[in-house]
Amino acid sequence: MSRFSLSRRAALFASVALLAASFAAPAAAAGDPATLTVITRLTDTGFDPAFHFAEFDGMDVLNLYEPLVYPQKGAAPSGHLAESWDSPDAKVWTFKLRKGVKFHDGKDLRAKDVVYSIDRMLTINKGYSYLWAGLLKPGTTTAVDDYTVKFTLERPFGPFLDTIVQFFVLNSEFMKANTAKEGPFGDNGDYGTAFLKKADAGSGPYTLAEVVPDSRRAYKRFDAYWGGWKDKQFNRVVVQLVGEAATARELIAKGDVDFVDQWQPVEFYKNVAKEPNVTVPETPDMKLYFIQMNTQRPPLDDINFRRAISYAFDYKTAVEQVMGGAVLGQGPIPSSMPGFDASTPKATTDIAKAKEFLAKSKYKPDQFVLEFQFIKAGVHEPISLLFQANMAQLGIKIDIKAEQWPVLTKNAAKPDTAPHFFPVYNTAKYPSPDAFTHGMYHPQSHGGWQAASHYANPQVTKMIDEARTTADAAKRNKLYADAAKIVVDDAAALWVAYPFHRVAVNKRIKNYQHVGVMAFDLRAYNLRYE
Amino acid sequence: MTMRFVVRRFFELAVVLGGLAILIFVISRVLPGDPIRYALGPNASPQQIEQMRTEMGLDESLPVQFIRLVEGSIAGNFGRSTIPPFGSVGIDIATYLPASLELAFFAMILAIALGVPLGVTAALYRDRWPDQASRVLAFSGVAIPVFWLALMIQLVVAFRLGWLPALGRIGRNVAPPIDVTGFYLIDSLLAADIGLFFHCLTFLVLPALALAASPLAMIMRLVRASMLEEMGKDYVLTARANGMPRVLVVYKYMLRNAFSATLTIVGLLVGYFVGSAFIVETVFSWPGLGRYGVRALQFKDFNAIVAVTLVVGIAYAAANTVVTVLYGWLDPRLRLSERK
Repeated sequence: MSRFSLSRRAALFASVALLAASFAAPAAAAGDPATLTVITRLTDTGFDPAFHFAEFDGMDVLNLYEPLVYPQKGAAPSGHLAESWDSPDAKVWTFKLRKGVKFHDGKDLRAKDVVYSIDRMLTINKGYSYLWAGLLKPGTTTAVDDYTVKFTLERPFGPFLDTIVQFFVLNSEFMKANTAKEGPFGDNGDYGTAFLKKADAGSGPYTLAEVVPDSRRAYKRFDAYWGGWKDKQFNRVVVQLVGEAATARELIAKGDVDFVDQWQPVEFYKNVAKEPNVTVPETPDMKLYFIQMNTQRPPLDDINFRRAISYAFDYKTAVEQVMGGAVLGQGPIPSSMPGFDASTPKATTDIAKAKEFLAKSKYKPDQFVLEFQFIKAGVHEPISLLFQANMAQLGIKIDIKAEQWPVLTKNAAKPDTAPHFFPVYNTAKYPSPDAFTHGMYHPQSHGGWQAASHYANPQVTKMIDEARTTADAAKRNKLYADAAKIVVDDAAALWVAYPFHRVAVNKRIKNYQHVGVMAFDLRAYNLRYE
Repeated sequence: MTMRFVVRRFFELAVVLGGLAILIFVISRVLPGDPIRYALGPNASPQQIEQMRTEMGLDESLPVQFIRLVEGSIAGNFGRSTIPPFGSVGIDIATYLPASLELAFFAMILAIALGVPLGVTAALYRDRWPDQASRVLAFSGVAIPVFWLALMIQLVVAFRLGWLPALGRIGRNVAPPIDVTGFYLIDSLLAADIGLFFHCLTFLVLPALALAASPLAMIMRLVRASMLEEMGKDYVLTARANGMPRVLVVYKYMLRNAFSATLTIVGLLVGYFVGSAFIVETVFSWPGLGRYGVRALQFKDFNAIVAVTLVVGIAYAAANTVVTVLYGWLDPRLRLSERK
């Protein structure tokens, strides 16, 4: 091979490389300031409000569809598609709808759409439909007139208004036109479930513009949105999946993306906060980090043994060192949740008291090896090691074991398979203490992984039942808080902390507000750019 | 080549795939954990869980479930996923496989296009600096973990130097080509959009480089060893003594003879590229089958686990069958031995 031909080939290769690099340039550019770029590590799961229950699909649903009422941090929900509502008995709920709301195909939103949407959600029976299991049946919701809709529950349910923040309205005519005849829902065929995997049928401020599965999706602004548009709002939103924290860090630091959601490790936010163009808002979340104790398995069926463990755990180290800062736990109801009672005892470390309770227990500390099972993600592993070391001070042996999530949820379902200790997060799905009391300490919730304590106290059960049927929010929340205090006294878990909600935001983004209910802070319509 | 030889190879392929299907079905069913509870969220009612079990056919006996799986697999429909939105696994595979295949083919081209000439060069310059340099390159390629290499390539080439894009298959503000084959390069050419073709090509380079590093090193060392073996043979000496140009001797005669061992590796690599891309796909946010498979394992998505394993198994088995058939074509001794 001659030198000449070699150099010619090298030159050709270099030319092609340069040409290719020149095509790459637009992708790296920051681009249009009216485009918001969000990155997440969560996998996409479609655009159907009947299926969603996670944060990432929550973001899609929240931007493409709308609920009747919208959650407010520390307060009752405010009207959204519904302008007003009324329920004298907490059993029949009547909502007056906002007029002038358009779906993305230009049709007006009417009461029949609300009826179609709730019946569809209850029939499909997935996602957040569990919130109304046994309370609301398909066919019982009626359109009184074009702008009035009436929900008739099986029995009074006080937190109904709070729970319907997770109910989103679809365009019924558009959906019927895009429903496959064959499907598992009888006359409703597939209920349009196949169609909503790559399309939307909502009235939200954005419409779905583009989907690249497992990679990215884009929304574009819906010009006829009833809320109108102001200067400096985003015309386009791009959501990109990024699996690696190191990649996410580079992207936000370089200004290639505007927003990183809450699912990165604590160190990620601590590090990116040092970047000059990035801010990391830290807000106490309506979220709980707690270590569940299986109250049905010896020795944890003994209240004194559980109390000893509660006092032996080093909460300060867990909160300050492991979690990088959080609000110290004070029972199951998060401190920013309506109904939180500040007089609930704080999580306390007191080895002397721990030994005192252990002495009262009918079990000896070295009689058992206790299982501590966790998913290998986030803070669970360091917390498990800290827990193991703390319990060793009492002579209690802890076997820590990382498991996969489907294994943990299956184990947690029954008292004889649930581990002695199971640490989890519980994020508010609706703004009510109901999820943190009924959802965790009422026998009806046993089987769920947030009820792995398998706790049952007739007095608590009665109080929660009474709270659920109480229409008055203040009285209802007081009942929940009182029930929670009894659960704390019974030491059903270690309520370690109310973690901070952290996101990384480019400083050009303004108006970011944390709401507390999962994904509701990711509504791009509320944001502005500089 | 006899038809009998080819038919026999394909019959063996069918047996292997049947065995694989049984094995992976049993493993996926005995894995601990309950995917339905995850799929329906933390507070799903027992009635919801039962309804979904019935919808998924998980209330049927295991033999019936297996028969349905085989029927579905033959039809290209592997049942429904247990991950929301509970879509057809067959459609998921069809969505993600082209991205993985595109990456795998490009990585294989890189590995061969760089590995073979570097291996030849190392042999020709034995124990001199090109050989030493290629040795360092080869050992590094094999020894460096692929996740670290992928992160470093991304950090340096994409973020620090800004030469090539860091993630995805296409720019954030660029619309993908009209979906015909699922291969962006082919689809952009079919759309006669050369700009988009080169744009997509830039996104392929870094993940393909990370994926190709280890196979490239293997090919390089194998070609070097085979070439050294060929160098000592009489026909090379004869050719050179008769004045045949060195380039012709090396590339036309020696390399052809030396390439049969490399062909074995290349056959295996097809499966390796499809099956081992998950780390690279994660780092570069490449929406391929690897990421889909990892997610299926994490959440015990029965049907998806079986489907991904079968697809990777088919890739391995089919590539090896093709290599065996090619061997038979290249080497008459092999196919003639079948007749005995």
